[in-house]
Amino acid sequence: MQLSVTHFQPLTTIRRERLLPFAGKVLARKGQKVQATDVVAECELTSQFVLVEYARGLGLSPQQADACVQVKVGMDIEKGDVIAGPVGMMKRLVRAPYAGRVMLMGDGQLLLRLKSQPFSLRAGFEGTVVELIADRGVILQTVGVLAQGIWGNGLVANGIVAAVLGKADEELTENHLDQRAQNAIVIGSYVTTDRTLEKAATLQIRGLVLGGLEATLIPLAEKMPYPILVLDGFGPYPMNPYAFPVLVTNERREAYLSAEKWDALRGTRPEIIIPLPVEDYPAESHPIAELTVGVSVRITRKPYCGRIGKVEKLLSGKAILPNGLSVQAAQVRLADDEVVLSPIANLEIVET
Amino acid sequence: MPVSFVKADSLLALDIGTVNTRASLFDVVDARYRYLGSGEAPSTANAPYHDLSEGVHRAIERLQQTTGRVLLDEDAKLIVPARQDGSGVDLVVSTVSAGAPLKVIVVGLLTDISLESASNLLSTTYAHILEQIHLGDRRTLQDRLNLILQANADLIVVAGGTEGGAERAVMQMLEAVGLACLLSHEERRPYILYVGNSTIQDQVKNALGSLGNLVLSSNIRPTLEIENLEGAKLDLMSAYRQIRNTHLPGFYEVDQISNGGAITPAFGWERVVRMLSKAYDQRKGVMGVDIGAAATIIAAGLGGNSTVGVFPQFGLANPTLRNLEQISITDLSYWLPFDLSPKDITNVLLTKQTYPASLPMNEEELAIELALGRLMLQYSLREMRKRLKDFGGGELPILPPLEPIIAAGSILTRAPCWSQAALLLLDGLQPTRITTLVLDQHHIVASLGAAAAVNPVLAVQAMDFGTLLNLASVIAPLGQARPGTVVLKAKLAYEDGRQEKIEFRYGSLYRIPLPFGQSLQMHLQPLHGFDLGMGGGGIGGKVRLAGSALGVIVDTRGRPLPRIRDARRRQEWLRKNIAVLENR
Repeated sequence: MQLSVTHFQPLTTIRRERLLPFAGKVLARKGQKVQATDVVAECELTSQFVLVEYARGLGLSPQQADACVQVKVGMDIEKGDVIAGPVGMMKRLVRAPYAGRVMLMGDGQLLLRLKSQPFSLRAGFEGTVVELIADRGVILQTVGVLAQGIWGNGLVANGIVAAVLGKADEELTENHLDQRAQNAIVIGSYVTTDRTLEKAATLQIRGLVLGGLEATLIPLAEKMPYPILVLDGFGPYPMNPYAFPVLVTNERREAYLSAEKWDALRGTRPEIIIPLPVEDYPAESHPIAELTVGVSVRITRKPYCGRIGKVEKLLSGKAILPNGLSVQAAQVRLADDEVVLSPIANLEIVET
Repeated sequence: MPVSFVKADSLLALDIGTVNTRASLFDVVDARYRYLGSGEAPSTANAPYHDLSEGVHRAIERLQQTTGRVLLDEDAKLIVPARQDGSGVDLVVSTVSAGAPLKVIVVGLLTDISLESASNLLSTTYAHILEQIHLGDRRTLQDRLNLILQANADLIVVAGGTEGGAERAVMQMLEAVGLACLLSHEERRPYILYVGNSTIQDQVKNALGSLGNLVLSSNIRPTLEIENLEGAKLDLMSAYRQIRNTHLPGFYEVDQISNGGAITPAFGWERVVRMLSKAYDQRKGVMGVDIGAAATIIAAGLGGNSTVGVFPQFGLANPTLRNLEQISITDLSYWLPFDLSPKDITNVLLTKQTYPASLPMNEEELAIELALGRLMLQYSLREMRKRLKDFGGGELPILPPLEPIIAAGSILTRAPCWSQAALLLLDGLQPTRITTLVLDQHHIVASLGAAAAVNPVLAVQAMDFGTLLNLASVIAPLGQARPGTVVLKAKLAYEDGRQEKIEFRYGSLYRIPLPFGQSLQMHLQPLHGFDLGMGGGGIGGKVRLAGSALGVIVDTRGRPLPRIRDARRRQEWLRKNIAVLENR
């Protein structure tokens, strides 16, 4: 049986699509080495349209007003340009309220597509452009740390990694957040109070990576101006023993924190990437793998939620859980040598 | 020699859900169609596969292992039709609910007329209404245009105008739709389903016909008083298929191999309840409920008429809609037989939303999921209240008389004991009078709805022959009394000659075991004007009940169920209810 894979890897080859929200122009070249802030593609975001009723402005019937128009369909005009007129003794004019392109015109009305700010897609992390996706973006490849999460608040940022805790199982509180956290991506353990998230905002941190976050704090976390990535579970879960040392030992390195929502349909997950200066490309990380005896897995539900171990046995037939549910199950040996039974539906493969 | 209506056609039914894909096989055994088995595999609509076919292929492989029947050829292609050597199948049907709900904008004239009917229409499929545009929304043409363009909808449903009624207002509302289509890139133009005043269909066609995917359907509100969704439901189903063909890889292949095309499970459920409502007691309705991860479905039929509601917002875990974040923790806690902090409940719900296929491993989390099932049924029923009134229901939660209620969903079929499944249904639906709870233990009812279009005999026979589990007969008299008052007397006559007299007091739950294969005649006499649906309040009669997993449940707890505010008393009540059904 194949299951999805979560990565907490100190060194792996990472390939990521970097895509525009709409069709646009790809600026990067295949094989190009890029820095995090380099623009790889750009497009115009969805435009706003404005309806200008020039007949009403001129005080004429639509037919009369159409004869007084000074612009044509397809024409780019600036704010204040004359659209129609002058008419009458007062030389009435109708001017463009905004800069834009004339899309449609007639019956005394004109539809203007406003000029929108171009959207620039940045590389996000240091790497090499290995593939171009026509009109949409690039596939970028790098080597480094990859830690994937289960939840993100939708924001993305770059920054220097800062470790403010000595242990993975110590709650991150506002007292831990000092100047080291300022303008940095903070590696925490778990957060249970709103004060911690708010203090982080006042320090203008670049991002927060946690093992656990109380689900009741999700509405607040979504309002924070910095990206928040949860790696292990909802509740007071310490960061797992694979991710914490890997992230902490890479303190002061530049990281890319993508806390976008986990979208199973598109295959995007919230994650942190720390590119490392390595010449050789190790094996690439894969999103799915076969569940077999010996593979590392993480259990996703209580009472073992977030805990990682190795599959010791895949049970044939069904097993009965303590609550009476009859399920396809596996025996998992956890890191502390405890052997537990878990439904296969509650397992995800972990690559460390 | 008896005449057989059975054509010797074997049938493969595919059911492709958000989490799992099932392949079920039906064939003729002893001159009757029977369910032979199922194979199940994880669905592959999501990354990294992005193709339904992979999951379908694996489910068929598992089905081959389960049944021993060869269905795939050397090139791993499905063998259709069946060969002389018995390999392959003659017919294929499919139901598909995988993929995100359709993103829809509704355009109409009045919120309580055309928009309400359009919402009812959309609730018959997997749709999420992004925005409503109507005469009273105070938006300018420019606002409407920008709204449509920003929304990036899959489908725009345009309603409004009774037959021969409003014309100009409808055309005016269409202006923004037309402009938005004109200004959109051809590939991103939404489908448009017109279900308004049909006398102006030519004008609508002239205005929008050249701008892409316009479907003209029948008016869903021909008069102010009458809503008629039937014709439009078929066209909506057709639009659903076309949109899925474009956006859901693998759907096209499944659609092509399916006799009658791929349909939604909701469509299949509605077909089944409609069919059964013709076959069973025409004074009573038939109900089907399916509590799934992606949506809860409720279908009801009466005398050949039917209605269905699909509620993605009330699925047990719909990550796309993030629906569990909107659950009322107070409502959910009501159904927990122990104290649990809102923080702990929220953590469990968010975990379930993140991992929809995951299962509870301890008592607490199981209780939360069973409570969630009750809520999702109650919320869905609330949305259906107007439509169910047409089937003889009172003010909800008083359901119309139903026989039977067929229920599906892993939360029920995987429940550790049948009593938990039955109690979830009793609390969530609050059935009234006399009915039977039937469990779709193999998740095949929706598929049988798809099969009914190509082989109705198969659909009927496969349901008859032990495929569905008779969970319990339920007697729930309607009326009000003081707790402890005797409201129902019964004389029981068993097949082995035993006789028994029982009095049932208001405010309690009773279970009378009656194993499969046995039957029981009950002479029921309601007291104090209580109604059993036998001709009015206080009128009783005889009823013969068949054996089932739990036997007979007499529910005199009241309708609606009492609201017990005191947490300790309520938890005690919940524990007592389950203890009664488990005969503890």
